[in-house]
Amino acid sequence: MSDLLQVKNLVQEFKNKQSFIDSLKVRDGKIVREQKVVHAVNDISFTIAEGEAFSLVGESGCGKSTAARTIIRLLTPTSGEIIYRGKDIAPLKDTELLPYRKKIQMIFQDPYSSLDPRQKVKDILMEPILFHKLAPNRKAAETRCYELMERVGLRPEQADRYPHQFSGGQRQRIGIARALAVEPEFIIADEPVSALDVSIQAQILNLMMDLKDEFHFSYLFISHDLSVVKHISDRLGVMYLGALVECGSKQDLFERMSHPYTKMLLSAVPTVGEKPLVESMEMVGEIPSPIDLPSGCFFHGRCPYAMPICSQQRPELKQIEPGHYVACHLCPGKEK
Amino acid sequence: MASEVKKPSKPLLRRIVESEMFHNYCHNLPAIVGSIIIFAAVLIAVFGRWLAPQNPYDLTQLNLMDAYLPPAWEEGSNPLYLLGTDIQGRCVLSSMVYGSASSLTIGFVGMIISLVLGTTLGLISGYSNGRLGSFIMRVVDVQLSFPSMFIALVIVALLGRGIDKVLLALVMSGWVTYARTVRAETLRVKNMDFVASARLVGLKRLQIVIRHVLPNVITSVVVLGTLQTGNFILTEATLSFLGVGVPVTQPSLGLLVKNGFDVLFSGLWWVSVFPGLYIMLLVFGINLFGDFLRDELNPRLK
Amino acid sequence: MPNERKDQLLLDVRHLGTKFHMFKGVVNAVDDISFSLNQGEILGIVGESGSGKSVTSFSLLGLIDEPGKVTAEKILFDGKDLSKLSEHEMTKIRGKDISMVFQDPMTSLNPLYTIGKQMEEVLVLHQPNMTAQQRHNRCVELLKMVGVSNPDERLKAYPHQFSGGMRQRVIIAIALAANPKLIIADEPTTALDVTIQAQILRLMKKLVREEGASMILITHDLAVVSETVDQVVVMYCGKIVEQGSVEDVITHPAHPYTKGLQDSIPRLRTDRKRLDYIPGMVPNMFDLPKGCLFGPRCKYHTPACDAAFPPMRKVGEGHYAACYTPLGVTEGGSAE
Repeated sequence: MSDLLQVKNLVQEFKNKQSFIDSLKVRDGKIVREQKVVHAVNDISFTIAEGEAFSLVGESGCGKSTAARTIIRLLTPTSGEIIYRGKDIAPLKDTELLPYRKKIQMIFQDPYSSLDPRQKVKDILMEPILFHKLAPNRKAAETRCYELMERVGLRPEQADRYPHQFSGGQRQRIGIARALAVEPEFIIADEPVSALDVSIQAQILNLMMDLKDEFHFSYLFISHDLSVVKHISDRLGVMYLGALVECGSKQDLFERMSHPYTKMLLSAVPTVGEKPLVESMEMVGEIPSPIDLPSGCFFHGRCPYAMPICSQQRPELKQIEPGHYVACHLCPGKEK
Repeated sequence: MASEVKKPSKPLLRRIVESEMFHNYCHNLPAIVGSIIIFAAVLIAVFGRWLAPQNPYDLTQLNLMDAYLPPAWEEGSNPLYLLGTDIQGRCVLSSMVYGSASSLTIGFVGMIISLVLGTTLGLISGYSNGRLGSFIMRVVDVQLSFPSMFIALVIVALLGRGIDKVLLALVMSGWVTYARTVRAETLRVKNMDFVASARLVGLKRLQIVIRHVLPNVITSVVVLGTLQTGNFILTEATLSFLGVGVPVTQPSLGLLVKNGFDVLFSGLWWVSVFPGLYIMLLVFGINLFGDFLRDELNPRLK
Repeated sequence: MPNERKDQLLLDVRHLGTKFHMFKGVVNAVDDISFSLNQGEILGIVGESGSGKSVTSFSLLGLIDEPGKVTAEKILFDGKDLSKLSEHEMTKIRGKDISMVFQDPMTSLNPLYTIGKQMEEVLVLHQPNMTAQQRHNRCVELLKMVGVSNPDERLKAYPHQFSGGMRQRVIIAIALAANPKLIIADEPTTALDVTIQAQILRLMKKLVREEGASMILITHDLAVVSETVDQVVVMYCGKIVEQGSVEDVITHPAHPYTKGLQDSIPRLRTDRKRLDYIPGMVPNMFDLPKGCLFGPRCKYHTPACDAAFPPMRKVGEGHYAACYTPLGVTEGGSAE
């Protein structure tokens, strides 16, 4: 399998919006201007192969959504490379990105804010088709729009309705249909089911998997829900405070999880009458602020196995077995 | 097969009648009263001149002998002049019909110009949000620190009196409200995912603003516009009362109040009281209807 | 202590109904439900959005405003019938005998007052005999109890200085302040991350046990329920479809809806290509189906289901389901 997407050393930082006065600080008797910087994504690297479903998992504020929005270039990265089919799309301008807009699409988390409330479903779906001239005329675009609606499980008669006349699950289907409209090769799905009811979640997950089999595209899933991630992905990366702490295949992570944070996450997942994968772990502390990053390993403050070195040196992401990477001082890497 | 789909759409009128908003309107007495007042006032302003007892600006129809006749129900009145006459023997009722046309025109036209101007600048300021955006907002702040009376006085002093000058004065102070509201709404809307998704389609900024942002901020603008029409009518009346508004040849309701003011305390009350009451009624009606629109269209109250 | 009080009825709700008179018609948000709660127990109310689970709790507390209308044969709480109390008498019970924890920790606290001030307010209101010093000590003690470190300092802090998890702890502390007999927690962990959710759930469970209080936990998450509660009520479209002990309901679900919900959750231990799902969607509350409300989505649907809403049927000891053909039950009514 060849690599479809390669993310190398991606960094995304935001200057905290502060007034000029607030940013002034006294240091050593001098007044200096210090702007707070939010370190949303701290140097992450991973690859997604053709036809693969890769997931980024983590808790809120771990930078997974920001990473997704940077990869799809809704945001411009602070540094790093986003190599799509051999071409670095990180430095491209909006106009240069146009060909990629057809190939990479996104499914959003919130089915309420992701559809324009003033547009009919038909117009929502026809907009990308007409913009990219994927249909010879309006009539053909309309036919295509009905096909898309049927494919995602909506009735074409509903094309003249507005988003607010649909339920959350149906709206998410419209969002999926819109992403499909340009016949993409790569779909980024940012928490596509977390806003939906459980019984609807399963419908949408099944639909997304069926579409993948049918159209052979690759997925980047963003999710906080480990059981969902387990179900849909081939490989996954666990993020904490903007950095990847562990990355590997589904089996690597769910059977031989190595990073203490991965273990903590897994032990926290409530299950329905199942034995937990990990012994119950003492859970302490909260996620530190991405403005003042901790020194050394970002997780050392909450880690039950923390050693002195953990607060001094940030561990590298090391390969501990083929394709399984962990960033932890406890896990000795294997020489390649 | 998804080839032809029959549209179940209903005729527009039926959709309106069956809508929730229309239902709420029918159960909202203030809204009904307000809209009737507005509707009647517009009808009177447009067609009233053909029904009015006289044309108060046709000197041949005036008779100085009829000056200061009281309203029809008082002693010594002439039943021809229902609400009495002024110093030149003009029928107060007819003057009001003609004057309301000026007042309403200024109110509506002023509102529309400031709405378009303010909305455009608000969209630019909200969506670009860079230096240009901040600059527009600083202009708004400066503008808000000037009393609108002062602006009007300066304009009249420099350019002279006239309906166009009054409009200029109103617009110069009126656009800021729209700019502020539209900017705030734009900042909210532009962070929503459907705008992100429009960017992913590849749409350019201008296309996004026109197709996706504008339709979502327009309702609050409509509400503001309705309420502002009433405000403009009041401001214009004030300006005219102060003698810096419309010229005497195109009197508005405010000017009529001023004309009668000099004799108000000599017992000749009807010359200014009736135009004054009419202004009050008009603005009251507009505000009633505006409040209804605000409650109905404000997405945050839903 | 808690053991002595066990099996004593604390709350007994009979035939509770809540209707909303809207423009489009009447919504039966809660339709003729009955349940009871023993002292020292945790009751879980599970349901998807629109199932009426939150409305139930608001109805108990008399917090339903126009156009809503609550009717009940009785809501017996600690010897008093809440449905017959005046608004004035209810105010004395709310916050003292029954307290609430809401979903959104960001909006449940007043941003203008310190945490200490907001905690003391409850004490001033419900325990007027306390001196200022006693109140302060009690606040410190409460914060310690919910695991807020450095409570003396933290009392002077404002809500925005706390993270989401910490705020939820403070809210729980406030809910416990007046030694309530019953705590109603409405989706208390939905807005939180999994590791924080696990901490909060364990904390709530522990505190309820230690303080000898009872709790109603309202949630959409079957997994949370299965790990936290003693008794479960499953709601669908304003009706109770199944109720019983958590072991019975989770391990031997009798109602097809409960079973469907469980099967649609992806599992951590087992891999499935496709998830089982409940077809269709939650019906429109203005246009409910005839007979069994779940009928149109049910795998085991029979013509008999359309006749009338099935009555509650005993399927095991203390385990009831509103279904004509409950799962795992042979004809005749007794459990297998």
